[in-house]
Formats: sequence, C-alpha cells, structure tokens
Amino acid sequence: MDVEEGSPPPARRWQGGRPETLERFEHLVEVFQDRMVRYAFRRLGNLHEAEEAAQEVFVRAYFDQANSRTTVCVSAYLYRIAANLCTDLLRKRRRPTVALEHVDAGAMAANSPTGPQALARAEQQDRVEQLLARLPRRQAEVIRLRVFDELRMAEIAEVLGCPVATAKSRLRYGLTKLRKILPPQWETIS
Amino acid sequence: MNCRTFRKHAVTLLDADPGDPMHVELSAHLRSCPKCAETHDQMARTLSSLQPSYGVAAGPLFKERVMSRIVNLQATNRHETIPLQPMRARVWRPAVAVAAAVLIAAVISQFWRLNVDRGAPPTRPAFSLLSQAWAAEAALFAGDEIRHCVNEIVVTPVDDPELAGMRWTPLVSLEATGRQRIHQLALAAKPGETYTVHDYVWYDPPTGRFTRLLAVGDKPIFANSYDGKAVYWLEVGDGARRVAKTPVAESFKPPTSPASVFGIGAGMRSTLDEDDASVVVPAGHQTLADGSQTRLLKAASGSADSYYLFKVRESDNRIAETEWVAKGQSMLVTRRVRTETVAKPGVGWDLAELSAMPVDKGGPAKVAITPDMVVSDVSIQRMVDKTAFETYIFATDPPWAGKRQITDVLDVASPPHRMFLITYRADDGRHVVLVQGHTYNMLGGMPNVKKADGLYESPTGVKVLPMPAERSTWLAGILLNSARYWIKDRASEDRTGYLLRTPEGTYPALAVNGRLSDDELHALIDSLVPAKQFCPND
Repeated sequence: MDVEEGSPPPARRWQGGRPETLERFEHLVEVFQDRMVRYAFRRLGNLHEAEEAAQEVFVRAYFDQANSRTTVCVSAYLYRIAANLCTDLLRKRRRPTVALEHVDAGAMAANSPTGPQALARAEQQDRVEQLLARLPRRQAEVIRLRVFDELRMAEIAEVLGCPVATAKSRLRYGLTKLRKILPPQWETIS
Repeated sequence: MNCRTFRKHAVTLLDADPGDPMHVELSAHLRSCPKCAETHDQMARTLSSLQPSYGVAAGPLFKERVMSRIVNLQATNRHETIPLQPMRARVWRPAVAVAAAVLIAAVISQFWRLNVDRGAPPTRPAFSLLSQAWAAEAALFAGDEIRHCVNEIVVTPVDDPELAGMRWTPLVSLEATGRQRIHQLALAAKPGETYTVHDYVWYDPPTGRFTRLLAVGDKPIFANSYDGKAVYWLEVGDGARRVAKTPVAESFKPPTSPASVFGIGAGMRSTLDEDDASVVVPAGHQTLADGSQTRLLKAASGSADSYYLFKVRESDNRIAETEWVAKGQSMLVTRRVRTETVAKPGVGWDLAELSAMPVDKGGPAKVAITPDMVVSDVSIQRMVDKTAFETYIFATDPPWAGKRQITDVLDVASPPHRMFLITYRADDGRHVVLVQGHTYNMLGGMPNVKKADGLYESPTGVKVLPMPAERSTWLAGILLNSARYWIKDRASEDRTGYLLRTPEGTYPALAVNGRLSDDELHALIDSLVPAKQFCPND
C-alpha cells in the first residue's frame, strides 16, 4: 500500500467494454487499481483492508462473467462491486459505516514516507471531509465520487443506481451548499 | 439557453465532452453571460479546492497479486471440463463389490489409527523409507509462513466399466467442534475416460488457519477452511452454491497433524508400526513425467493385485505420487505438483471468493461427495434407522469377548447405503466381527449362495451357509482387517469366516479371529435377533 505525495495523476480512462481476455483484464486492473483501493479506503478506513477489498473486487469481477457480459460501463460495474463488498465487510465488523471523515488523519499520515508534510496534508483532507459531513449524505457521496474517484456523471449515476439528471442535481445542490459553508479564504488556502 | 437552464445543467461541463450538444449550448451561454461564467468558475474552484492533496494508491505488487489469485483459481481451465451428468446405475458384480469393500475397509482401519503413536522403530528398509516420507510430508506443513500445496488427482483411463465406475478417494474435513470427518470422494468415469481433480491447500502453521479447495475444471466441488474464528464449508447443490460458516466451539483446536487432514494421502495414511512393516514392500524404481527418480513402495491391501504404490522421490525422500491399483490396473494417481511458501492464501480463509464464482447450471457431476465414510460407536437405533433391511444383533455378548461396538461405514460398493460393523475385542484374541450391508446382501444374487442349505439353523431362523475352508479364511481376513482399528490385532492364521442367511433373505458376514467349538458357534448364532427388538421407539 502506498500513500503518495501530491495530487494523484488524472485517472486513466478505460477504453472499451468488458475485457475478453486475461491480458485485457490485467490492463483493466492496472487502470483501476488505485481508484479501487482509494474507494475501499474511504469506506473502510483501513489501508490494509482497503487493498484486500480492492483485490477481491477484481477477482469477483473476473469470475462474475454472467453479469459482466451485460455491463456497459466497466468502471461503474467495478464501483458497484466495491460498494457491495465494503458494505458486507462493514456489516461483518458489526459497526456502522466508516467514511473518511471518521478516519484518523494521523494514522493515514503515519503511512506516508514524509511524516510532517504528510500529516499536514492529511489534516487538510480531514478538513475536507468535515465539510462534506455537513452535507446531505447523498450529495456528499456524489461529490466524493466526482472529486476523489474522478468519475463522470453517467458513471456516478450508475454506481449510485439513479438517473444521470439526479446525480447532476445532487452535485449541483451539494456544491451550492458547500460554497455557503466554506470558511473564508478556503480556496486560496487549498 | 437562459441562465436558469444553464445553472441546472452546468455540471455537464465538468465532463468535458465537447461533442455533447448540451455541452455546446452551455459553452455558448458561458461565453455570452458573465454572471453565469462567474458562477461556473466558482463551482469549478470549489471542486478543485476539494481535490485531495495526496492519494492513496495500490501497492507496487497489487496487480500481480490480483492476477496471481485469478490465475490460481482459473488454473484448472487448462484441464478438461467434465460434462455434468447423473451417476449411472451401478451393475453389481460380487467380486468387484467385495473387492471395493476390502479396499475401503483397509483404508478405514488405517485412517482410524492415524493418531496412534506407537513410537516403534522401523525395522525394514521399505517400511523405514515410507515412515521417513510421511515425516517429510508432515514437515511440509510446518514453519512460520503460509504453506501452499497443489495436488492433482488423476482419474486414469480404465477399460473395465465396473472398475472405471468405482473410483474414489477419502476426503478429510474439519468441523467447528474440531472433529475430523472422512468422506468419500467418488470419481466415476466412463471406460477409457480420464480427468483431473485439483486439490489446493493453504495452511498457516502459526495460527492453524487453512483453506482447502477441490475443483474439477473451473468448478469447485469441495472446500473447507478455518479463519481463526470459524469453520467454513462450501455447500454445492443443484445450480446453487453457498458458503456455510460455523463459529468454532470453545474446545476447538486446529489440526495437530495437518498432513493427516490435507496432506497427500490424507485419510489413508497409517501410523506404521512393526506389524505394518510386512505389508510395505519395495517395488522397484520409476522415473516420473517431470524427470524425478522415485522408489516405489507397495502397500498391499489384502489382495495380490490390489494395492497402493507410494512413489518416494529419491532426491528428498518426499512422496511425489500415490497410485491406487486394483485388479492390476491403475485406478487413481495423486500427484504433488506444487509446494511453496506464499504471502497469502489464493482463496481466502473464509472462502469468500467461492460465492462469487460462476454457479454450475448443469446436472450433478459424476464427481460426488458422500459424507462420513465412518462413524464410530453408534447406537442400535441408528443401525436400524439407517438400513432398509432387517439388521441383527447378538442378544447376548459372546462370553469370551468384551464390549460391543457398532460402527457405521459407507458401503462404498453401493453408496449411499450404509454398512454396519459389530465388533467385539476378546482378551483371548478370538475377536468377533459381524458385517451387515447392502453389498453383502447382494451375495444372495449368486445362485450357489441362494440355494445353499444351511449347516446350522438357529431358533430364529438364521442359517450358517457352507463355505470351503479357503473361502472362509479369505472372508474372515476381509472382515477382520476391516475392523482392525477396533479389534487392534492383525487377522490370525486360524481365523474363520461364515456367511449367514436370515429369514428375511439378508446375508450377514461373520468372522472370528480364531477357532470356535461347535457349541460356541451355535450359541453365538442362536443369540442373533432382529436389532429392532432393542429399539424402544420401534
């Protein structure tokens, strides 16, 4: 598990539908591995479990051929598996969903190669999550999928199982509310 | 486009798809309306300000680990996928059926002695070599890291339809109580047909966690695991598959001898003692397909042309293959194809991956698992309940023998019928074994047996049938060897076997490990009564 410094590179897009060969599937893993780990980490709040869960997502996707054959949007399909898997894992733990706002920033920083700088960045991330926590849950989730997972609106809609228009309106309302609660000079500081 | 419509659809611009007609309209409005441009710019800045200043990313070997797991699970795709079809009806043939019973009996008796550590030093080279090979097998499951083994169970091509259809191997599982169970993995095939079952094992010595998976092609047929808290069991039904989880009992302990649960030959290996040395003989050398030089050790199982071959690699004294030979023909070869240390199990300790794998849509495979080959020390009621025919029991225990024990055994020649062994261990060595089962009852189908007059008939109508001395000794050897775990001794030279016929037309088989006087024999037969008389519920 790596915790990288700086902004993550823009997410690579998956071209084409369901991979038909093992080689193509390997390429798919390469494209989506960081996003799956990131998403699972947000849900589970534990780096090790996140990577385990992300591996499981790909294994399930590979063997779930019956469903993946009908999948149009591969990324949304992977996120759906990840969402269900994380929900199952959290249920097994018998504790409520852990979103990133509940994750200890210090613990995350401890995984970073550069302690003080990473801690500062983790604290910034923590502040973002504290803001998102003040939004309605669904609006906050659309913003997370858009910002952290770099999903298109159509993909977000498929992950959440709602119409694209609904996803768009949630994002719009969420951003509008967010602007109202942003502290002064937030954008400059960020 | 007016400002209201723009605000409603402004987020579409975030996807940066210039070809989208909506995107074109929005962009045009953006250029012409400074107020909306400012609003949009604020939204973009807000989003940008939320971008994480660092990113969590997958580890450097993430992709390799995923692909390794997939390839591992999919590995069996290299091999023939067996078409699903129902088990064909078995055409019984006495010689084969009894031979099968002999084989299972020998295996059972060895299995139940697994944990008996006699501490006897080996006395013969072949015996010594096999003992060392077992020790090497046990050592494979020791250490501080996760051990991974893969065995191939090859169903070899056999032309005889009876032999082809009667292949099986024992399969050991662990319950949440800590009890080990032995099952029959039936591996039927058409004449000339061959296929392979893959047996994957991951074992974590420090914690005792394990995962065992058997698969034919890409179809899991058996899985059992322990994750430190619960025992998992793959339930495979018609077109459905689920993983059952049972939290372990307080008394649960991981297997102390993992090789006896999932090592090569688990379920049939024996803790060899000096008595066993005589049944292990050297049988030459063989070069295996991978170039390994092996020594062949033959373990006889009661018949000259039916035996197990252990192929021990000369380089490291490890068991490379076992082979079951029946009637001179190779029936099954179990081959160790991989042994390694891994960072994590290919299939999780909780078998989670298996529920995500494709579900078979076909009918039952010719590969079938019949649970519980042996259940020791059962009640008379169970014997009555589990049999569709009249069973008998000695109303009076033989005066020279000890306590009665009843054992429920899978009738391997006629599964899922059960066979019941009633055993008495005697201080003077004249142990008594009475076997009742569907396979033995089928002996009534032989004209010379069916028409035979009884040498003696008890008041309840049980007859002792005539039998040549040679046949009597042969039958007694089968029965006594079957029950060796309970009677503890090897069959004696003066053993005696009897075939009985009840008024209901069943054929119990009786063996005494020695000679009985006529009076003793008559008293023994006279005490046989229907077992249901001892069942208050019937």
